[in-house]
Amino acid sequence: MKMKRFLSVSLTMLMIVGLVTGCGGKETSTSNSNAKEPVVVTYSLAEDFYTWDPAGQPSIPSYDARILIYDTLVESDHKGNYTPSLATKWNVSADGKDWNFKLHEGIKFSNGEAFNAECVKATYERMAFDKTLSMHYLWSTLTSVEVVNDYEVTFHFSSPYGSFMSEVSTAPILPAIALKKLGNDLFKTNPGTGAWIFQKWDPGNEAVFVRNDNYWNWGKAKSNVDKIVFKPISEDTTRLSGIRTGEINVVGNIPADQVSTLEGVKDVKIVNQPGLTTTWFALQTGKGKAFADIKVREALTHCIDRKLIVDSILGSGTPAYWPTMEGVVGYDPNAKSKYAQYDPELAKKLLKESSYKGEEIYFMAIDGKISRSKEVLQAVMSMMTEVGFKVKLEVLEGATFVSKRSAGNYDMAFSNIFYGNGSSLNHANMHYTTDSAHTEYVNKDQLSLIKEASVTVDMEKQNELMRQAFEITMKETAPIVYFINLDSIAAYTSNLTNVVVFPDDVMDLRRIIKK
Amino acid sequence: MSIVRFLIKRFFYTILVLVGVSIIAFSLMRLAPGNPAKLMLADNATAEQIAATEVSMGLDKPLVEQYLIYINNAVHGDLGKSLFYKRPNSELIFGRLPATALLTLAAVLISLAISFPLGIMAGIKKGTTVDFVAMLFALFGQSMSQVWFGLLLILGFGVALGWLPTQGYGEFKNIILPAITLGLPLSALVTRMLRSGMYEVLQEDYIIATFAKGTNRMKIYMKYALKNAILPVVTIIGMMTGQLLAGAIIVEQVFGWPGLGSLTVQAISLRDFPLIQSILLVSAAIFVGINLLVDILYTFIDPRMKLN
Repeated sequence: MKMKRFLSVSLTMLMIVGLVTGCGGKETSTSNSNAKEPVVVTYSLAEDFYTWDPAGQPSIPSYDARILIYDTLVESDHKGNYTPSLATKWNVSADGKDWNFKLHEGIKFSNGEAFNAECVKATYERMAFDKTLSMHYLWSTLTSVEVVNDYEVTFHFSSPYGSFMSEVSTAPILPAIALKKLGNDLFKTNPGTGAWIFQKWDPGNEAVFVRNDNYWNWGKAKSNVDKIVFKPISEDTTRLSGIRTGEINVVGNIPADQVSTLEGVKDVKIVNQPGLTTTWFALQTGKGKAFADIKVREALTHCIDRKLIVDSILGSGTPAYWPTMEGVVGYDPNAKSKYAQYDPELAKKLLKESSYKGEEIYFMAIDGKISRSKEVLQAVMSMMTEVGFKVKLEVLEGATFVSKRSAGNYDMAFSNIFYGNGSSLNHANMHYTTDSAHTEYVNKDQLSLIKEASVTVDMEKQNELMRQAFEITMKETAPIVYFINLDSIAAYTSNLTNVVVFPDDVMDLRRIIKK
Repeated sequence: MSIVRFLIKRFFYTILVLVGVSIIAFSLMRLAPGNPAKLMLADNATAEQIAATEVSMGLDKPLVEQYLIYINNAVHGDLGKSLFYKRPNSELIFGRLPATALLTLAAVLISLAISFPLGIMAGIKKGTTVDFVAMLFALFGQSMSQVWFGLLLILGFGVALGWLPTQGYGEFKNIILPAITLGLPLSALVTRMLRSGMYEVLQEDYIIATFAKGTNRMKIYMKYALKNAILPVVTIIGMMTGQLLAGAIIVEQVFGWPGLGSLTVQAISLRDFPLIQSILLVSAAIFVGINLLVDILYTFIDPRMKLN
């Protein structure tokens, strides 16, 4: 009896001791008074990394991490303007199929390897030839990258690539020798030429970057921060609580309905700007389906009071009267007065005249593509019901939604897209040309306009071609009805400066200063 | 039955359970909609690209072959490689397991620390204010959403009062709020069980006789009554392990705790088949292991119980 009691008591004591020391042991020692306390900035995002391969499927933090670790050939202001980075000069051939770049000399990767033309060749050809890489689709028309000399390359394409400059500005350059030697293991150490060096990744917990004092491009704006820590916290309230207490310094992708918790909080700056993200409904226009009839589609777009949803549910954003917004290729500034006007009476009339016989419209969505999504979607559903639609709304889990959508098993599918770098070609190719949402809508004129724009390197010309292509979308109200353009909202503690937030929500923390 | 025979028998049951879990995990994930090859590529990946990716993931082979390859590797200690992280699953799982184990252990300790005094007092003083408070707490604990409770704790103790951190991992103060949140339903349940257990034992004739003998009250409560009341509690803790591991998924998401729970959520949304299968296998093994420990512990507490 006494033995058992002793056993259970000591077991308990052991567990408690183990727990306390196990926890306490991780405490970072700041008792070393000789070392200066490192300046740390913590950036919290909703998602964590899974792959560090820039050619793999990016998760949200990937975009922000790449800017820190790597450089690209050119830099972008995310609105379609490009400046030299690893490349000093560039030009395109008359037929648009060859791009020549002169490269910066004297730059080294963080693993000591020299940056040169071979690195550019290795980086791009890998994406062009490996079909299992997520980014392969962007470079499938690239036939080769020619090394003219150590600091000059020429890209050869089978046909002109309309979004070349935009994609070049987002493709980080990898070290050729290390890539060849290590293959995918390269992405355990991620050596780059960038302003920050990858130190470690503790999955689910944090990713740490340290300042690269040997960065070739600090110029006059060098960061005084020693460490940047990326922390994934999926719960919005928790993330925002962290910035309210100052435990977190930077937060991005803030949902519109949570901004109010930060307004008025001392020492927190909010950055709120019109974003490059829009939300939309893909419509199933296959034979026999409700939305095959243009009158039904028009009834839909006219029955939705976009402004009401923006004002009373979201509190931010703008109604989308056009597929793109200002700063994105194909924008039409006159669209606002012409399309997507809220007119429920017209919608009722159109629906009555149409072939719609009251069949149920299957409306599907994923949660989280817009803030307060359930309320927004229910508002849309009730607006539709008011003019005579019969609607079934289903909010699905991510992968289920994707598989249903690509099989075309829906009438109306809600989604969003962000126009990275102000380019609309990816969206047009994905959802019009390839019809990855399986809407079964085909308009030959529109497809040929998009095809021509895809091989047009002259941006003014590309803009006009895309504008015409999008005009067809608005006139036909197919295959997509555009809904609301989202704002880009971020926040950071006011002891920071040089926090650059791009309207496509990408964060540039390279030159951050902490007081 | 001798302890050796017992352990051998248990070992075979364990193998049976693990095989069953692996088959269920394997087939459930394949039955659910969603193709990891498609999810890994961009939206307009061609059929050719998807097929090539499926081959690289080993998904083009017949299902039975895929399963046998997986099981064969698992038996040899290789839990496979994650499709998305492109790292060995064992590295990912056992890298995150300590965080979840710590959280779960802390949750159990904290909830026992709360529920023992509360439950025992309520059982002894049934019908009084103490009893009422304890029952209110139990009701609250069993019906309160862990998401909401966790967020309330963060906003209250983290933001409003500033006593504890709102998130983070690595120091003792980081574990307090998540552990309280995770342990809440267990705490409520144990309070209830101890209360009714204590009360019932205290009605027994031999207890009343011991009181009449004049034995010290404390001694009766702690030595005689508690020993009997505690039996179902020990079993419950073993059974609740499953609930704790599941609850950890929620709590880890709320607090940003880098444990197995948050890894599981991400693996499922990415349809990372090998990773999900291995997580389930490991979780099942842990569950079986803990229940085994509980059964052994039981025999120390109650000499009437034999291992069979």
